[in-house]
Amino acid sequence: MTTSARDEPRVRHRLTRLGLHFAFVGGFAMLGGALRGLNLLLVLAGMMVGLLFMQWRLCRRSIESVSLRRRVPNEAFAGRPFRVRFRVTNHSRSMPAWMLRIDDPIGSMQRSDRSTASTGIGFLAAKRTATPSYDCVITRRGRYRLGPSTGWTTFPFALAMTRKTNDDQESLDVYPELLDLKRGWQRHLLGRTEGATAAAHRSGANDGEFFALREWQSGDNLRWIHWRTTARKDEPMVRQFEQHRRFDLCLLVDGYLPNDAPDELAEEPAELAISLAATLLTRLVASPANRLTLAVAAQRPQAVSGGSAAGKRHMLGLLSEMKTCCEPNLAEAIEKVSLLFGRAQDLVVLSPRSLEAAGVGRDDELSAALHPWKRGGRLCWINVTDPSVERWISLAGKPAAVGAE
Amino acid sequence: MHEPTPWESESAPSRRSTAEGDFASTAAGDQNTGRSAGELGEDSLLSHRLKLYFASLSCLGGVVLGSGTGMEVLAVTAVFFALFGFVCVDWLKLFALPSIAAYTAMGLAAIYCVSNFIEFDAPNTRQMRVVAELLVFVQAILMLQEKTHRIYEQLGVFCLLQLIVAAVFNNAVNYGLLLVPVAVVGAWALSLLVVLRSSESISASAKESAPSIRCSAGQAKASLESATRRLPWVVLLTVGPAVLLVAAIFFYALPRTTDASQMGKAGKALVGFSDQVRLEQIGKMIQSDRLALRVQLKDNSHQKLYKVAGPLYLRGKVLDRYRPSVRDGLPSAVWVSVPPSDINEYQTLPPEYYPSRMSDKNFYDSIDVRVSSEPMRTPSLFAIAPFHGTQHQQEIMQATDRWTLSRQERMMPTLGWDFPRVTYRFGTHAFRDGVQSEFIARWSKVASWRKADDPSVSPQARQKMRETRLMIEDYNRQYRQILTAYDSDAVPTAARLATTVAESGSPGKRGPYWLARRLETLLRSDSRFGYTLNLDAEPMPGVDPIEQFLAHDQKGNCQYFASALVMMLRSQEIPARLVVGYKTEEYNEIGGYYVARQRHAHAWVEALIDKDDLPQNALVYGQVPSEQYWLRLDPTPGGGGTGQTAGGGVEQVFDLAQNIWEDYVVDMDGSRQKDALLDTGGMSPMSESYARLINSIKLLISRIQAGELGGGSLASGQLFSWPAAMFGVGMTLLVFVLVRIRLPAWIRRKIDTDRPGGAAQPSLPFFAETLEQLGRLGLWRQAAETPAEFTSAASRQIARQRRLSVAEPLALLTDAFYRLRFGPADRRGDDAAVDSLTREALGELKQRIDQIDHQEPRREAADVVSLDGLSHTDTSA
Repeated sequence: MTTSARDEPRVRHRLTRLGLHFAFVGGFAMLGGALRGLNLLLVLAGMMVGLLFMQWRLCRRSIESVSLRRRVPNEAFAGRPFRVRFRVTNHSRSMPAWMLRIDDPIGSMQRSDRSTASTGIGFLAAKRTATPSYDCVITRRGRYRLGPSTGWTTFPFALAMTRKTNDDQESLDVYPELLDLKRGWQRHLLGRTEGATAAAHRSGANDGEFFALREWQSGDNLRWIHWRTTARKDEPMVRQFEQHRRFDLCLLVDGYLPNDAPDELAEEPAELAISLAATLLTRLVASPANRLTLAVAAQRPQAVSGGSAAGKRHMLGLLSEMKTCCEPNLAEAIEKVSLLFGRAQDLVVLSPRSLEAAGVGRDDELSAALHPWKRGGRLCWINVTDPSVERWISLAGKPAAVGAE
Repeated sequence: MHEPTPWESESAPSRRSTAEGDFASTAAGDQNTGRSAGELGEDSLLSHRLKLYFASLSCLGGVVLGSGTGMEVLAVTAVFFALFGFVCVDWLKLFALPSIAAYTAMGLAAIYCVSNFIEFDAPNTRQMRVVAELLVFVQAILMLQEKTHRIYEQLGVFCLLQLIVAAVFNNAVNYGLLLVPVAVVGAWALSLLVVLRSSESISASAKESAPSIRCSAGQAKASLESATRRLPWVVLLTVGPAVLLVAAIFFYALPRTTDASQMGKAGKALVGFSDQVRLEQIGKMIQSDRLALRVQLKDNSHQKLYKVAGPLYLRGKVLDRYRPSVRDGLPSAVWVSVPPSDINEYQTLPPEYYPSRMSDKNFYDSIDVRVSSEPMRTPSLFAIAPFHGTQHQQEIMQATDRWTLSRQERMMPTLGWDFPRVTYRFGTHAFRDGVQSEFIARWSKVASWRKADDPSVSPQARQKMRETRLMIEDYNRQYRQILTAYDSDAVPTAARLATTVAESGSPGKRGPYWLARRLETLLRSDSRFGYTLNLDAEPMPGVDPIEQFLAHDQKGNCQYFASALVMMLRSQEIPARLVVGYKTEEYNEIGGYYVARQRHAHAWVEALIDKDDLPQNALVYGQVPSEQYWLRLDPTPGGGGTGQTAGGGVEQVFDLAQNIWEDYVVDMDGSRQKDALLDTGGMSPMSESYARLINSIKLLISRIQAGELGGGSLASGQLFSWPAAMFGVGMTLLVFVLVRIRLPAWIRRKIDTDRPGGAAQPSLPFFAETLEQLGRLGLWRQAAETPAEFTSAASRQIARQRRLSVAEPLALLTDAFYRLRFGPADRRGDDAAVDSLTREALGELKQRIDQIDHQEPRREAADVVSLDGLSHTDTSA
């Protein structure tokens, strides 16, 4: 999230359609009353003038005494609602602000997707601050621009509108959509990386963190028996432990997009791969014991590493801005990882195509790049278009992604 | 299995459910892109109120247009369609006119009205009626349509146009009275349009979203719509007076280049008195109760209102010639006014007469008269003779020997219009101790020809004066002939009765004055003659109407009695003429003025009596010395129609309102504007009002100082006063009622939020934030409460009222506060650990309070005062 420089807000005042009608009729009444000496017309004209004057005064004063400040969330994921708040302060000593509306344009910086979010406050007392908000769901990852926000009101008679536009453009990274990982994803991750034992180290000599109680099964260690519960239930009960494993992985995302991509549907497999990468990344980074590296093979191959919150944001940002292409250079991405972080980590490739389709065997460079991991059994190639991906995630609602190959 | 991210884990349950609900509603809105504003706010308070207010506006617009303009049918039409549209279209939703049908209907209405419009050759009021019809028709069609924002706006504009058209037609006070509810309902309606516009476009912007970006703000919409209840009142009570003030300043400060006038009023102007008055005319006028004049008398010496002891005679027209005629084959008669000649042509009002002997001033009162006349069809105005001009600019003229007033030529209306309302002033010496003098000098001006024999005047001037004197003597001779014209064959009974009366007196007393009085008494008191307003007497063929009255019917209205007396006087060679005008005793106590209505129309007689024939005690002071005087004689039994008493209190108030309305609104022009705004010490109404108000306040203060409050009982040392006691009880009841009335929510909230002023803010930021979070639920620490007492009481109260426990985080925070604030330094623990602990607890507290807030979706955003850096999304960092 970045913020542009703030300048003085611009205040503009204009009559609404109804205000124009009133002004016209009031002008007619004034003219008729003045020319023909019809005092009642002048009374009406006076009321019109009074209405318009008070409208202008209150409208302008309300907006001028109010300041807006947007607060965007630190992270937002595609397909998940996030809330954007405004801190609205009425600086006026005595005059409350009524019917304040805030419009906030949202637009993609890569595509033409545009929208305007709105929120508002019915009443804001003098010297008070309120935090109106709007909820937003963006279904496509990427970088979005928020703002400039505009506060406006037509209080009290809807005859005129005063708008104050703040120069408060901000950008927001919408990270890839998070998927629901199925149970046992960690086991699959270990299983597929044939040398899982090397990658997933026991985090210590203990049994792990207490997780739950269950009935005793043959083979259970007697040390795990929970005697108090066993006595109470009159059957042997054992403690379950959650094993702490430390993953040391490199996630490589293959940003492959078929050359003849007709529409957004063709992007789905690549997007699914990116989403799966983001999901795994999010889950793995949550444990500080894990060490993670992310490499993307897209228009511009990149590689980053990090386990902290900042590193996580960096990696998610990389995924959100990743541009798919028809010829992603996987070998270069692997090379970058190797140069930066070595080859000690297991390599998990998330791709919208199979290993063979990616050219392994035909492409000497890629084969050579992958060779160290293949040789050590530390390569996991997850083809998201393969039905077997359902072991990882639930594909309900994403039929197009599977079987596209 | 996906585990929630920290960001989700904090806010997901409430936020996701809210957001999904909002998006569901937004999606529903998307599918109904063409839906109306009313549908968007289906069954909402805002929608209902908007429909009600605009239906009321339509009703009121039609009523304003129809009232007092003779277009009651239009008012009924407007009210019917407003009610019908509200009930059937807006409320029951039985049907709604499609747009295409509505446009067609409007087109047909326009064609119908325009076809009527072009039938008239010259501009007149009928064309305005056509415009009014068009407005009502179109408004009726709008009421039958489904209400959208645009329809609401159109209804508002049409109501405004109706007010404009009605302002051209109707300038009575009922327009001003109706303007009040129109303004109130209009302000309400416009303020709700603000709510509609603000909340409506939240959905509208969502509709324009790209498919990949969906936004909603359900709470914001609820917050905006929650203003529906109080915004109209706030606008009315705070902005309304300001609007009126600006309007008043505009109205009174706008430079005026034209005189106040009015268009139309066709059929609404009073008949008035022209140069010809038929015998039955006054009888018809008396049938009407409409207001004609307001007359205010003010004593010049004391600047106080002046009340008359008896009836007040206001002369309108002098009729000299009696002309029998035949109408529809039956005998009739007309009284005709002799047109003015070179001698008595219309002139400006004479100057005030100052007697040569100062003692004469004891025999008359100097009165300032202010007359406000309703629109009339004739130019004649009404006067109290003898009159004189005042310092105020006058636009009226006088006929010197008639003692009547008329409008100046430039006040004459253009073709097709009636004479507008006019207010004029003059002075008079006609009263002494409240009694109106019955003698008027022959001429209203000093006769300069009397100086024709004065040797100090130059010969040329003397010659001119002699010529003038000859002309006047000739005129007098001719006029005397007119005033003594009597057809003894046509009206023999008049001569017979007059002769009988004349012969009944002793020879020494048979002067003209005595005879005139006796004849007046005869008609007035003789049991043979009776007063009636019954106009269905059958005219007798070949018989003069006066003769028929005297010899056969002997019953009639004032005009018959006066005509008969004129004939009787003329039969005795006493010059006499008929005077028509108003005779009223109706006094508006509230406004301090006399009211003359059509039913007060009256006819009386003036007989010309030589000065020498007047009785010794005749009071003719305060006017130009004359050789002859007009003697007022009123032969109508029982005083004619003046026996009817003044209207009730409501009527008086209404009359006063009408008077004020005309003074300060309808008749405001350049001169009155100057009088009202610039003059400070003159007789202008506004400064007069100010002076009166200030005098009243001064009087009240002096009475309080003198201990006269309470009917003077306090002055005498009496400690109990019934009026004071009643006042005290009334005020107590008023205070009780005011206190019992539930304060508006926003005032209560303000009081609530202002309450914690006494309690100091904690020095530790995390505990200050804790208290602020509790403040969101309206819980504030009192000055006498310790933090622990407050938080434990707050957690109990929240658990009891909101069914959600915040005890755990609150206890933790309180404990941390005490430990850090008051505990020994070595037991405060690791800073980072405590910081982490308090942050977690504060986040937990905030989350729970958020949940409580979500349980109250109607709670306004203004109350949700949260702190920077503590929003759901940020805590994940």
